[in-house]
Amino acid sequence: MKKLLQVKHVEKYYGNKNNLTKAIDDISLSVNSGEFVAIMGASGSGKTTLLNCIATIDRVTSGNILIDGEDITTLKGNNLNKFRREKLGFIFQDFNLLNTLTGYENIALALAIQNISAKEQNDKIKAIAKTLGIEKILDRYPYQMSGGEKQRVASARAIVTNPKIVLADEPTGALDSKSSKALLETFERLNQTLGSTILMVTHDAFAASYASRVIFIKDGKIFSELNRGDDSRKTFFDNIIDVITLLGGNLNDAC
Amino acid sequence: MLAKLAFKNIKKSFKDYAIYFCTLILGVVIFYIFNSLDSQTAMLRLSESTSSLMRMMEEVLSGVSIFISCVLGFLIIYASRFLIKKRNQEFGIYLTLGMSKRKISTLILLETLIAGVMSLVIGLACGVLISQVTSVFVAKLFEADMEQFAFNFSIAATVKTLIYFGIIYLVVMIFDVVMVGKCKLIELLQAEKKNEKIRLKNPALCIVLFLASVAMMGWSYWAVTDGFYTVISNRPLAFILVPIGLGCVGTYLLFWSISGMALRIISSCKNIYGRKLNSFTFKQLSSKINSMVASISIICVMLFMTICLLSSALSIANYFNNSIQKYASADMEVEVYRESETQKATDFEKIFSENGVLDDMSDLVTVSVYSDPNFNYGDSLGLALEEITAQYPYITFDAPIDIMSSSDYNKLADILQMESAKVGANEYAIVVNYETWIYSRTLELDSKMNIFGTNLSPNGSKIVDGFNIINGGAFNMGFFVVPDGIIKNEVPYKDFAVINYFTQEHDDQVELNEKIAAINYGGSGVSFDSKIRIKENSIGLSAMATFVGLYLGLIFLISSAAILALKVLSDTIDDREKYNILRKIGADEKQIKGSLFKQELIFFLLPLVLALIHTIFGIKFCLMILETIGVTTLLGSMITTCIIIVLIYGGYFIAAYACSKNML
Repeated sequence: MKKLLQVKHVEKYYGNKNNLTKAIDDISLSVNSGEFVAIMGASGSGKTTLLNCIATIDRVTSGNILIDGEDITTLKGNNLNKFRREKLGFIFQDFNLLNTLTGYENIALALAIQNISAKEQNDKIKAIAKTLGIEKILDRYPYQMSGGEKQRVASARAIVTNPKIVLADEPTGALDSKSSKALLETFERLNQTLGSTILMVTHDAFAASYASRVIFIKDGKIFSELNRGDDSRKTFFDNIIDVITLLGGNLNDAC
Repeated sequence: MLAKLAFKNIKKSFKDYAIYFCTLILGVVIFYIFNSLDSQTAMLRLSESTSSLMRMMEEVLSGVSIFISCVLGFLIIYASRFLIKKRNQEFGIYLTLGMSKRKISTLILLETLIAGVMSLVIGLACGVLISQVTSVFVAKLFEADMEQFAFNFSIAATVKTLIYFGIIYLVVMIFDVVMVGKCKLIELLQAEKKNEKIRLKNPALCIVLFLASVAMMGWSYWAVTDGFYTVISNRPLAFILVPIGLGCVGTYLLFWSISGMALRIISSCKNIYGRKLNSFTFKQLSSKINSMVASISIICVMLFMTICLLSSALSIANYFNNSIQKYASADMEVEVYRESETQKATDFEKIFSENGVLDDMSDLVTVSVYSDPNFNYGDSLGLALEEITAQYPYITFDAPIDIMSSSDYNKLADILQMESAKVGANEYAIVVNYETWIYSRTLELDSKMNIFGTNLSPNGSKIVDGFNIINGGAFNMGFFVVPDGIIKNEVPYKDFAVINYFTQEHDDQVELNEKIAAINYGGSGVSFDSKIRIKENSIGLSAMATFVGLYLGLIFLISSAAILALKVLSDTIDDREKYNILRKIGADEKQIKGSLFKQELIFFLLPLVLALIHTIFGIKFCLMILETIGVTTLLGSMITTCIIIVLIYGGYFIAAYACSKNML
């Protein structure tokens, strides 16, 4: 399989000479095209920093990150923006929808930025709305939606541009368990039917159990890795819990 | 401790609120300059009549100052409400840390005090410096000689500024303290997360109100221009407030309905709406406008008043400066009314020579004026009388109209630099220069007139532009010029002398004028007018108009611009998160800045555009009033006004955009 994302010996330091924090300490990993990968770790383990570096929101201290063969650590200015809007899709814990725009307009904005015509926007949004089951809420404003609905609109915005990879930062963090389940099933469906590559950061074992592979991070280093293989989701969930126990059992502290 | 915190807070937020501080300082500067006119003119040599005008003007300006300080007070309260709202979370943190509300109030009090003292000190310092420059301008306006440049500083104006602004800041403090007192901790802490709701307006209601507002404004426009006489006839003059009031209500309703409708219209143009960040830009703009329809309407009206005030004021000043050159084209004029029909003509040359003033005169022209008891104003208007009576119901037209012989008039035309009147054997000419009367006279240009029993026909189809009495403007309502033969046997009712002096020195001319006025001419009555007196009178009016117009206009302008700029800045702070989202979904910095620019530009332009539309009609109305004193065009002063507006309003826009761009 084609390696879509390669992280090579990435390090990220914060602070100064006297007080140095290694948020990421020499991490290497790769994600294949069409994979659904979860990164797990406790608060402060460096998982969000890693995601931000991949998302080009943050800069690495050393190392390289290759997406679709392009080294994003060397991109700058408008090239970076262009890369971000064409190759990446984002889903955030707090949805990051624009309050003043309707669901439809929020999704359309991601397309409009890429200079896609209004008609084509409409076609694409209709198609993705059908897949995600959000046709009825497209004309609503974010404040008229439930958390789960907001996150599905945000997901639609992230994948409507057909990005190489979707980066999700704690997408279920602000959802109740029912909405979480529905969203994760949506991710699964996107991954399986549309072949979207998804990289999700979470500290929730239940969310992680929907992925095909889980990478565990502790104190900025990769601790271990689990492949789902042909296991059922339930078995995979139990396996994840086992690793968490091994990690110190405190992974869910924040919940 | 609190003082230290207050200082730190001000220092921290100084960059964000530089525009607010600058507006405060500007307000103080303008206030000081206009209230220190007495000391600015102290070293000017002013004649007695000018200085009494000066005193009157000071009184008017100090009355205006009270109004101005109310406007500034509202502006500062409005602005400080923005600033307090911005800091809700900060206050929330103080409260959770155990600071009492009273201490927070004290903190705000201290901050307002520091900001107030700072703006007053800087503003007064700038005011004193700038008033040195404006005093030169004032001297020019009064055409007074500046004997020497002297540093001027007005203690009275300083004290007044301190008291007025002290009161304003005191009121602001009370407002702020009350506002903080009413806050709830939970609201303070969650202020930033508050959901903004999109208020959707009923489209049918929007259309109805839009049509209503257009109708209201249309009627008001008509009522102050073409329909003015129809509307005002048989009603008290105060009725003019009705179209003005309706215009204001119409403005509000228009902004209200437009802010509801425009978005619907634009969002239905999918190709425009769906391009780049347009959907975001328009939504932002519409929420900005929706949240301050009332303020925008007030700003629009203030801008409208600014344009009208400034252009009228400047044109009055300009007009008098120019018209004195044109219409007071001789140094002195003496009119002597004859006692009876038998009295002989006044021999001016002999009288002046006897009194020893003849040698000082470079020109002396004497002419006579006749009147025919059977030929009055009404007769002279012919069929146009009916229309004119309808327009001016308060004027009676049964006084006899002046008549001059063509040789006398042409003598006058020569010395007063006017066009001469050519009349044939049985012809007459009308000489008139008062704008509204030129129109009335044109209505009956080809009628025959019976003057002193002879039927005369007009000398062509043109009115002669001229006058026979020197004046500050074009105020000649009309007199007739007839061939010498017609009045050969008639007796004039007055004679007058038009005089130019050799000397152009102000003091010498004043002395000569006094000498001439003291002479006994005989006759039933004598009247004098001199260029110097006309100048002094009209300077008072033009200076008053200029000062009041500039004072109000500038304050309105900076108030409007400052409110818009503060709104833009506080919105940018609120919307930072939104711009971050745009960045995250891949929008270029160029696109983001472009969106911000478009939002702010349209936001600033909207009230200005409507104000300009109002101005088209408002200026016509101003012109209608100003025509009565002889002003016929406002074009020049409107250009000056536009430059002032572009500089100040545009300056605020650029400053607001630059500041908000840096905040992103």
